[in-house]
Amino acid sequence: MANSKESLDQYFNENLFGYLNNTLDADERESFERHLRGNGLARSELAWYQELKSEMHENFERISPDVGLKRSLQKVRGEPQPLIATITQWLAKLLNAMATPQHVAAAGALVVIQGAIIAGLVATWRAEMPEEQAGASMTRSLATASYATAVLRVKFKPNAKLQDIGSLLTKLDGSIVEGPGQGGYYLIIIASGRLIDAAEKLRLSNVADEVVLIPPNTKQNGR
Amino acid sequence: MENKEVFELLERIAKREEPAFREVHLAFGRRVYAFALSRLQNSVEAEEVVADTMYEIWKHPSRFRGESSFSTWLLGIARHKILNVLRSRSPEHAEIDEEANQVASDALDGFGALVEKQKREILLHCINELPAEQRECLYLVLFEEMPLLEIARLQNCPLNTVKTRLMYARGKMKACVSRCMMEG
Repeated sequence: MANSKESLDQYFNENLFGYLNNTLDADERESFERHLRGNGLARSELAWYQELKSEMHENFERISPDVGLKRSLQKVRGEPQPLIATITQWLAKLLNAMATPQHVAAAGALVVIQGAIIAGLVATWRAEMPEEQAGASMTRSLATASYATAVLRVKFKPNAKLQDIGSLLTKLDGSIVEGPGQGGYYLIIIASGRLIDAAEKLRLSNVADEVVLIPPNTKQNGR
Repeated sequence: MENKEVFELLERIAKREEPAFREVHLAFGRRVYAFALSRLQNSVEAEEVVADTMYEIWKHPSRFRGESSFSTWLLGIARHKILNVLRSRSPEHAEIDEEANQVASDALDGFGALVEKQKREILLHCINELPAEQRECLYLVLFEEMPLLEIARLQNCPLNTVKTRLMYARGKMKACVSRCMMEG
């Protein structure tokens, strides 16, 4: 009896959500409906999930389509422009200014101002960058990240606590430079350069699931 | 939005076109928000997850290669951001204890007689009481109508684990609804 109740419950479990989402074929659907006809409790349960589904959709409709947009745009606009783009823009402006002789003086002033801005930008980046990263001469391309120094690609355990990760990274002289991506991976730079030692300690720790050493200038496609 | 259309927008994002980014955000932002909210139960944190997730698209638009639907891929990124938020929190509230899973079916019979508002309040309360992974499974299957195999990929676990999570989730939902009915 218990077995039969269990198998009925398993049958219900296997098909309930398929039925709700219309992914059962005609035969499966008919068989599931037969099961429902003889089981009041199963019918009630199905009704709750239909109810819950409607509630979720109604709640969703109440969410503004631009939720989080302001913050996203702040991040996008707040990111430092790549140096190459700044120089290109500066050259374009300079050439435009040089096109007419009467603007040569203005262009000269522009050179000074732009030069100061670029120097300021570089100085700001340096100042904002942790000392160890600045020392590691990190370079990144726009579309795919790659690093001039070897890095560790780490996936942390889902239940790892931020505090534990932080304290281990401090001990290893490491800092997260990117992540997490779609696969949940982080890229970590070890300022002391002792990557193999750090990788081993991370592997033995209870916070990391996967640790891979990435050679310099390797593109991190999609990880 | 079809993947083809998404790819076109991503190409424009790669050229740093903000309107394309805005379009993707408006198309997918609230799905990410709803997913994050279902897991975090906190609107400020959920909004931050949306911003962080969308910013990943801005930084690495070429990382989406169409191996799944764009929304599934995006929810995968969001899930890791959510885990980050959860990591920084204290341990989650205790799960409903196993004894409470004994379902009093007599109490459940009366569910149909409740008014709509009461029913929904009970159901929302009960889904929020579920352990995080089970709640996430139930959310993805009910709202996103995601196939179980895709949920398994997203949760990085075997298909059977997803089935088990859903079975436990159902058991706990029954127990919770029953308890709420008895408590009136």
